[in-house]
Amino acid sequence: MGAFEYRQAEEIRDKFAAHGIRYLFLGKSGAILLGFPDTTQDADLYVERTTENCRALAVALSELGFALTTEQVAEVERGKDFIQLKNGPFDLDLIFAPDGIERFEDAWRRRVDVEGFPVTHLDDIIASKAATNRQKDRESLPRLRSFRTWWLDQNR
Amino acid sequence: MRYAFIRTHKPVLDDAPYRSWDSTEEYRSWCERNLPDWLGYGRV
Repeated sequence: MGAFEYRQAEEIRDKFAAHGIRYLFLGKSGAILLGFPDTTQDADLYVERTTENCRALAVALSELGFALTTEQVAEVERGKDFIQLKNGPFDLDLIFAPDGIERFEDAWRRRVDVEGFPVTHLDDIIASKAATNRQKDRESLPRLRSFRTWWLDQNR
Repeated sequence: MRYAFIRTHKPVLDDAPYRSWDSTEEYRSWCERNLPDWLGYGRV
């Protein structure tokens, strides 16, 4: 396992694009890509759960250097709800059913493109964090909501 | 954002190379049962 760095976000972006994978940066990593000034240690990816997409995802992860067993590949291919990967060049959470977002298609339609990164809309990031109701999310939410006001104004 | 990704060790959470859960709710519950409170993964 290793640190997640911006250049690795670029590796994900480029590799996933090459495989035509539909996914979105979610959580704090997504917010940071939108300009939220904070830090994070990994990337949360919201992945569309279709057979073709999940198969392509397993291939892309292998090419990125994740050492997946046959059983783990099968779990990725079937889109198990929550998969935490620390067996590759950086840490990655694969989320197929995030709290607070009903359908991938809706989030995809609302996505924001930042330097080629497909990012979940800030409203969906906030909805997801609010739905988890974890201590660390509760701490982030007031500042995220305040950032949202500024961000929407900038992107009018 | 280029320098926003940092690394610190999170006990328990970072100590297995692979974990998966059949539902997000299972993941949340696992975090509450297994992670130190100060990591902030517990629900309030």
